[in-house]
Amino acid sequence: MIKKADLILAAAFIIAGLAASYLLTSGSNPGKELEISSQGRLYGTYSLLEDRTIRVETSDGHFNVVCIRDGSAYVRKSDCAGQDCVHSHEISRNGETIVCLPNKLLLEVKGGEKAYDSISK
Amino acid sequence: MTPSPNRIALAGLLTSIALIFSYIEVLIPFNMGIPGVKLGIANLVIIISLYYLNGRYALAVNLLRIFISGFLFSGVFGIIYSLAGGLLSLLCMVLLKKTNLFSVTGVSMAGGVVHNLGQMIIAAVLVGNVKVFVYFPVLVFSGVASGFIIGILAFLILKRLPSKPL
Repeated sequence: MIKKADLILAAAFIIAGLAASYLLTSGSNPGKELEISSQGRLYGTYSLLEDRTIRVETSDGHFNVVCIRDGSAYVRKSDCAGQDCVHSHEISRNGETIVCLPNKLLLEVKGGEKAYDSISK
Repeated sequence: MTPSPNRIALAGLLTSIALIFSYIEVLIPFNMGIPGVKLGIANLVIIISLYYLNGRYALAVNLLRIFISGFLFSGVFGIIYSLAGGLLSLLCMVLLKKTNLFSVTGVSMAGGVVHNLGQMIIAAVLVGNVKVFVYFPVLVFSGVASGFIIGILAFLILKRLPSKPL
């Protein structure tokens, strides 16, 4: 019913699968929450597990719309001139950031596994 | 193996069983909540066709099953996905069977993994994004697991079929 070669084959597949999953996840520590700072102050911390839209307004009337979807965060809308924040790639891993300089907005992913940098500090 | 009425009739029977199995899987998806993870019981019939008849009959049964069940249940995209998975996995199983190294179980496991691989390649092409390969490890494990179950079943069924081929 089962030959030795079958078991070797199964083991090879499982090793390939494990290796692939290791390669795919290494260096990526998915974060748990998103920390939003506006004008140098902490604006709020939001779970990355819950999909939501956050409108961040500054005291001088500018705004950014931050979206959390499927564990990643991105800036959907901004009234800044450069729109660099809107074009930034979505962030989901611990330590990744999106910055909107004109509106003094900083998004940072936190709460995953400790990044190596924090040990070497 | 020259075509004989008996073998053609058996191939027709196997095709209809494969269709019923496809239908059962539409009715009761053996889904673990991860896209693409399923038991693939129709593959049981393909393996029986491959071992009891031959690769050409298995190909015919497989193609008929994919197109008929595709038109009945899942539509054009379903057919494209099934074709990619089904043909690649059958090709792999035929080649592995030819080596005579593996039993039905091993052949079936390889078929299960390669089936998932084929579907992932098509998904990557259709979505235009290589990111779908993050599912690769999961689909390898599910391919091994479902291929193992199907292989054991195929072994038990083949043992009970009349040993003289038609």
